Amino acid sequence: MAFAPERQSAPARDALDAIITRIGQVVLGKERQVRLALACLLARGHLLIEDLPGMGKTTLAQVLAQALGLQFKRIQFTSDLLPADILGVSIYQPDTKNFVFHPGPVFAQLVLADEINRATPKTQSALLEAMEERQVTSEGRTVKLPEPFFVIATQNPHHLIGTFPLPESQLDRFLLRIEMGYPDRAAERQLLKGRGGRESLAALTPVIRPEQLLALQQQVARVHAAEPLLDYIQNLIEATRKHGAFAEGLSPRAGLALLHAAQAWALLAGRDMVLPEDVQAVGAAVIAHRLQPAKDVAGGRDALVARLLESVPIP
Amino acid sequence: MNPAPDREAFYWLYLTAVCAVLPAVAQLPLWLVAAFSLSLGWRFASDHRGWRRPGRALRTLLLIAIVIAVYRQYGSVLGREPGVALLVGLLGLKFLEIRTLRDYLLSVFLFYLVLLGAYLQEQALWLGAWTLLTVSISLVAMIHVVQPRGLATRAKLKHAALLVAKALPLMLVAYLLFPRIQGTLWGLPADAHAGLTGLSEIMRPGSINSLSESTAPAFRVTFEGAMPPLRDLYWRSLVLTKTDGHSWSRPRAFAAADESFEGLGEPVRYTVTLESSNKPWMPVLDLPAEIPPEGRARNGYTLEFRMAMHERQTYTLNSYPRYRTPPLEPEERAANLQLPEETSPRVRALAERWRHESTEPLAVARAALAHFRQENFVYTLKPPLLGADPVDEFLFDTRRGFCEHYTAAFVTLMRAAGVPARIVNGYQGGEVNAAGNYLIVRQSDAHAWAEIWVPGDGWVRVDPTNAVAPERIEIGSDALRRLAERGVVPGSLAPAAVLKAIELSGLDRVFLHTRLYWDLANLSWYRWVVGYSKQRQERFLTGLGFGEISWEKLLTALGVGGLAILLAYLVWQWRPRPERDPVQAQYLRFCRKLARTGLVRAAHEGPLDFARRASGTRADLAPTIGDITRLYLKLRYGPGELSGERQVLKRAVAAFRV
Repeated sequence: MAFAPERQSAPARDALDAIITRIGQVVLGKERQVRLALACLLARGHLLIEDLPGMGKTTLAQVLAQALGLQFKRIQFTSDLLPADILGVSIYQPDTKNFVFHPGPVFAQLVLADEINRATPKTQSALLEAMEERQVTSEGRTVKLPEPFFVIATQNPHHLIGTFPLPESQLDRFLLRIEMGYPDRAAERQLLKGRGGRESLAALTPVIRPEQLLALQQQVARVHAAEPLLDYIQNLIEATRKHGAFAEGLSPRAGLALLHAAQAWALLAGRDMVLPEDVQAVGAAVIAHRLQPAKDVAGGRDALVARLLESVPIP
Repeated sequence: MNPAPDREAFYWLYLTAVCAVLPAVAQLPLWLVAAFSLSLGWRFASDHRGWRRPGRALRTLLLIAIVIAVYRQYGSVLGREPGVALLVGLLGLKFLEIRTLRDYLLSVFLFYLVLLGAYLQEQALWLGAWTLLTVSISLVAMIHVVQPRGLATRAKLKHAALLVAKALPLMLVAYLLFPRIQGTLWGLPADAHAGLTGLSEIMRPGSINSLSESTAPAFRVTFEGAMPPLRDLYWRSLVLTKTDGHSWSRPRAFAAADESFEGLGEPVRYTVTLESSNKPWMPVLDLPAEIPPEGRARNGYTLEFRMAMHERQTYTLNSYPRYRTPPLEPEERAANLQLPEETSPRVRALAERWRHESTEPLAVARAALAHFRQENFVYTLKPPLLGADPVDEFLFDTRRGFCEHYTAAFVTLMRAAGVPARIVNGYQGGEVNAAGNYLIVRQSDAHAWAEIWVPGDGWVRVDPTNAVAPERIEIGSDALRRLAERGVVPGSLAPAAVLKAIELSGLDRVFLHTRLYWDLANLSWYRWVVGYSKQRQERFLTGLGFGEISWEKLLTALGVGGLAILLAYLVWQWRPRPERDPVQAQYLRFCRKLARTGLVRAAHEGPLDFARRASGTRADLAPTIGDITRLYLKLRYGPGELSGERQVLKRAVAAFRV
């Protein structure tokens, strides 16, 4: 990078660079998505991936877990999935005459909730509550989820028959929303040649331990956000509130999400301070799924957000 | 909005009250000032010491007491002075019952009324400045009570100053365009002009002495063309011919309008701004060639207004410094030779002696002046009192006096010698205000001199004071005062030595200059602000090309002007603001330099992105662009204060060449 870091500790930078390189060996040609996913994880948020099947969503989740040395569980959401199937159940033990809690698949450090929109709202909200509170309450008992705890949910936005799309209020629970997109020609050729992809997963060894990841998460919160940058974030949020193109403006929570994501992005770039570019880099991923285009406005959300980012000057 | 004003609000209100009442204090009775101060003190004590405030009954009693006291003082509760007094008294009481915001604001507005009351007394420059100050303080008071608490005092002061500054253009438009009322602004009541001094119609030796002490300006003069030398500036107001041996006065009858003369050489054109004197006299330079429309002629080429003047007046006219007057009519000749029967034999004998030496009037006059010079006469502003026959006592016993004594004695001697003579009363000289290139003539410049009638030439001015104290005429009345302070007898020193003796110390010179500039400011204030009359307004607007002016048109113009100012203000509000952050200012400067090469940063483009793009296009500049951007990012977005690096950035941007 031409304009490099100033005062960040070298180990953190090296570790992060190594992670990105390692994941990049498996998920080919998707550095941006990888970085965003990693930033989301570092900012202690949860990730929503919207795309068609076969685009590498699951691979991304798995490779993240493996590179970071996280315990990984995958839950395939179906219409008959019940909350207990995710959270776990308390089962009566006749010998001790006690109920013993059997943790469900959500008790993992990285959970992949595949095709979340195929489950019923009741089941969806069970997961979303767990995501928010980072704990599970069952039969009056509260059990903490492991640390770090990171959920990647995927949903197929196009085939909606028999699905329950997440309502806007629930979408807000996800820090970032990304789309995988088709790989470029070179990356696809590599895949066809048998390099990368799920096959190379087995060879992947963890780059860092979970404790190191927790330390990095704490470092994100310490990335400096100066007054002019906070001005910029506020201007952006205000613009969504005044902009005619959106039905409603962004919430204060969205503002915090934008800041945290930008901090994580800055850390990934090896900086100890947030720049407007960081905000712009994560902007679409943070904002787009939280905004609803106004009724008579043409263009997709992403195009609208891009236009919004161009309309707000950097103070 | 705060429901009730707090302690600090009262501090501001006390200050507003004191500032508003101060200009009126001189005209208020002492007991009222005391009552007002006591009310403020009571309020303060009740806020800070928990004193009980008066109840409704006591307040009503106090109110009645004040009304009665004002009535007893002035014999009325109406009119200018009683009105202001009543207002001040009741506002003092108001302090005892202010509870809500409404009371508070009402008091502030009423203090504006008190402040306006001071303008009924005078419309001076300092009062204008004082009003601005008081209004600013009252604005701070109002800002304090309506703004959220915790605003810094500096912020309030700034806010108030801004409000005043914004009001100034509106004030200017209103001032220039608001329809003027013919006459005085408020139709001053008749008691407005008490206690002014000026020349008196009757001269008794000693009556000018009191004038000599007063440095109050009598009038100011602007000359068109060069100003004649001070010693030639004789401003005549009155010509006195009648005498009973003690006093001199004007003839009862009005002068015939055909009093004429022949002007020699070029006339002098000048404009006089006369202070109000409560007298009709119109001081003019010897001798006036015309009668201005507002004046009329009196005896001896003097002019006067048609009535006593209670306000400042301005008039312009021509005078001929050199002139020849026509032969005397027999009755006029008799009037100018008139002497009382009881004129002392010693005086008559002295005059007889000179007449025997020569019958030539000028020779007789020269003999008289030589007598004053040689016989140990002394010029003094504090002469001894004179008794039954002042001329005789002065000439032969005391020999101490000022212009009146010398002139009265001289004219008496001339008449006794058969030369027609008269006294002219007026002013001589003045002080040149180099700052504004005009002349200030003060009451202390009041002077009396003589005119004798010479066949062939007519009336000729003879100033006997000049023989005894040439400094008075050459340098001015101020020189005499300074000589007296230094214990020098006038006429005893050579001119150069006199100038040295009256030289001012450094501090005095500064003081003098300050005074002259202040006088200039005041003159401009009166000529342009207070004296902005209906006629001046019409002239001004006609000068702008407005043709016929009616008040309807003026009000329309006022409305349009107000709207224009409002619009201009809105445009100004929306203007692009200059960057205040020095770091950002430097970076924008850097961007402007790059923009000259066609590399324009988009408003939403981050500095890092821009640097990358710019380095891509201009690889030669890449290292410098990199350095500056890195420094800028660190200063603007990085943690900590790095004031030293600001300078580095500033120098780097200054040195940056595209």
